Amino acid sequence: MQTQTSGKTALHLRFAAIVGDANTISAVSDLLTYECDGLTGTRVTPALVVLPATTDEVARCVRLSNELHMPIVARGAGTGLSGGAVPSNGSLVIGLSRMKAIFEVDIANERIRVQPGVANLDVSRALAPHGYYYAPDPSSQSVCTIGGNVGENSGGAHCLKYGFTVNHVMGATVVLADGTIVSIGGPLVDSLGYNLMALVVGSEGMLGIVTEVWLRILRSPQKTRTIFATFPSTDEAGAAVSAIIADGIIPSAVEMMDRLAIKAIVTATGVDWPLDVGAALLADMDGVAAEVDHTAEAAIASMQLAGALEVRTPRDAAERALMWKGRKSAFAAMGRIGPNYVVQDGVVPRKEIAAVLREIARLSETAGLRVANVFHAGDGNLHPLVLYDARISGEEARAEHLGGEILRVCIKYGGSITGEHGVGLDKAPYMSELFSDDDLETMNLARCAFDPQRLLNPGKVFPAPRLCGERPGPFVLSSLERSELAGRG
Amino acid sequence: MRDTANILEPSTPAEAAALMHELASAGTRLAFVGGGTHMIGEPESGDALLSTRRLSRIVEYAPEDQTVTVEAGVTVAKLADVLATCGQRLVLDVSDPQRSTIGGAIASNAYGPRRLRFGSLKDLILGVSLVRADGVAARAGGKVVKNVAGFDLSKFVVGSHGTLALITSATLRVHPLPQVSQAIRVAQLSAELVWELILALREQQIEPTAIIAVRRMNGLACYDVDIVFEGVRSGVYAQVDCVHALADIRRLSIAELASERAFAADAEIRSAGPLRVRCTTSPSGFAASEEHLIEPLARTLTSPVVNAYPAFGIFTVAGTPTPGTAAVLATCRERIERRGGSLIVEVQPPATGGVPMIEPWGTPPPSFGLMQQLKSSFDPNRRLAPGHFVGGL
Repeated sequence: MQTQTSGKTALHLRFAAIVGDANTISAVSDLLTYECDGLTGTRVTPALVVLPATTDEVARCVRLSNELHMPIVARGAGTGLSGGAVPSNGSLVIGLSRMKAIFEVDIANERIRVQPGVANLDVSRALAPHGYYYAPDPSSQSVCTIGGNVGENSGGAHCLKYGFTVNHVMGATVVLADGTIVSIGGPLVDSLGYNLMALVVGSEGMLGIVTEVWLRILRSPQKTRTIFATFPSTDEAGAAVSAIIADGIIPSAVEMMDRLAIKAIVTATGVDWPLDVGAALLADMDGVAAEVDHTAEAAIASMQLAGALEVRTPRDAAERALMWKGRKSAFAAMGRIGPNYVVQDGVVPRKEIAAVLREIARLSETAGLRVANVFHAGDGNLHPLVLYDARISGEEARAEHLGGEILRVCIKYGGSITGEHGVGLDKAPYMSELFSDDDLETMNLARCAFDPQRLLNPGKVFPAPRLCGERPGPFVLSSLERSELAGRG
Repeated sequence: MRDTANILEPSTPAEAAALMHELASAGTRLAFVGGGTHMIGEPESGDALLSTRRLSRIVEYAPEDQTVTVEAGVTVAKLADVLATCGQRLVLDVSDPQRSTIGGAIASNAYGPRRLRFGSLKDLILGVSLVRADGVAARAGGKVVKNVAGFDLSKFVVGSHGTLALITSATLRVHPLPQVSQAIRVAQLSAELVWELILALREQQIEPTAIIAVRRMNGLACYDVDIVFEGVRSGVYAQVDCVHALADIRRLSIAELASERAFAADAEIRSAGPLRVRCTTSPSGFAASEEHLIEPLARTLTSPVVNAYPAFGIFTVAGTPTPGTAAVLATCRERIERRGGSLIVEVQPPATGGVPMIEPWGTPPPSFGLMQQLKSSFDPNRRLAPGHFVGGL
């Protein structure tokens, strides 16, 4: 015990020499905050947490952890839902929450340079006076950070029209696994050479630590129209979405909520949505005013033709904001209808939504667990929330199992296991159902070029630990899984 | 181009993988070719050449999902015909759609003026099937519009010029065809006024599909700017009216024209002469670019043609070089690189005595070390178009 305590102290002091004592966290009680991210069921205590303020401090921390053979896990706000920021055993967590400066707002060139700890919504807030905004808008946007968004290639409701984080990141300063600082991409529309930015965005902290980012920004649209419509069931709502798209209209967002999700949202937020409906759609059309007026009318007509029970348009900006608040607080609202939930993030081709929802309903019935659906219908990105009660023995495992079955349905329909939450720890076991060993090995080639020692966020994304230069074998549990996580879905 | 007898032409991805495996065993170096419209540099004479010409199937078209999966050798024109049957299009501007292939467009990061509104293939590609240098077939991404499972190799291979892997097929996002399309030409603007016009358009919050500035003469007031609107009728004409109003206030000379005429500038510059360079800069520096880059480049060429996408900082200069051209190119490249931009020589006259007039790519970027590591990770024996990309990648 004595040796261990003094060892930790020495570790603390060495990192404190870089980031300052106040920004070095080693007390067990303080480390608890960093044990997990939004995937709260999976917890691992890191060896140490540092909160650097500059790129240089990040680089020095990385070099020191290299010397000490410590794996490194980068962390933004810890809102991720796939366990991408769960520490690995003995790891150093580099928390980027103090790096929240906005360095440069360049309206003329439609770009902004920020540190990774800036909250997503704060970027748009900084741009609002100029009539600009940053498009990707995850539901957690008031707290989630740009660095985390880059790591996970975050989406949000409005990526149907405007794309995901990867479509809005132009360049970044990155600290590599060996502590070198490199600038990739840049502030211009193209940069010379390989498209490294596309690899780093969505690499879940496994290729480098982003310490500065150039983001592309958008001029605010002339007009936005929001439409809320209710339907007897998700079948009609799904048909309405298909009809809108088939009309050649690309709404900026189309969100669907089923009966259970509506109930949770109404109970939690007090929005005056009807409870006796099977599904609701919340859609935004934005752009040039004359076009928006046309597309909104066409979308309303499609909804009515598909069997809408009621179509509402908000009277003013406040009512519109309330509608969106309802949608964006959906996950938090689940507490009103069930003590616990697991959320999945599968994607299916848009035309298969209705069929997949029916399969989910069947699986839900068989498992005896309720599933609420609130999701990005426009791009087929489902968010089934499997409700359970952790106090009932075995129910959590059944919920995890059901979540996994839902992902298999998504794969069966030609979709994906994750649309925006990332693979992380949670979905790594399913990667080999979506991809062949050769596919995974090829992705691993990129990792080997960036981080041959596999020090950055080990144990994530890939279903089995992969060495560089090693042919893939059959799936085996990693040592991490054997020691910490055996039994997860 | 090479004697066609030496060209390998697999007709399925599996056949391509088998061929690539054989070539790997033999240690043969090779280059890939699609339509041959966007290749920078010529393959070495001893190397194998693999054409994707017969990889020409539309694998899966899901109009309801606005996605299409096509083999690499499908031409842009053929895909456009198929998509048009369902009222859709791939928003990709290439100058020779009958010859340009999807695989070639991906490998060369081909784009045109509609990138302003729709992005480039980096934004439109959703998934890819590859054959690696060692003959192993692999895929990344997927068929759905939203997907973050695994590293996104599909966007990574965009613009890799055949130096990482053979692209055998790709899934792409497609868009609805517009109801109407209308261009409007604002004539005789100086570079300063071109930039002011762009700011004024942004101020109005209108959303042009493309803005193309064509340089009509030397000196002041030399640009004609074509602004193209596409979409639903009411939206397009409201925006055209908005430009008329702007022009009235500023006493600018404008005329409406068919949007095909605006897009013709891209094809015209490709037949302008044996030298063509494309420059990437900050958009706001357009007037400075005119003075320090475009004017000197135009002056060193016989019958120069210049067009620009000023809203996103791209301009292209083409013509016939004169004896002083190499030195001017070097100076301009140095100037543009100092400001963080790049000057790529897309075509140049055949090398004399084995020495090209100018290296096509310019100074490798700060992340070049990573690029070298990626190259050796994907192609450890440097067999895929070695030396053909930035810094000899």
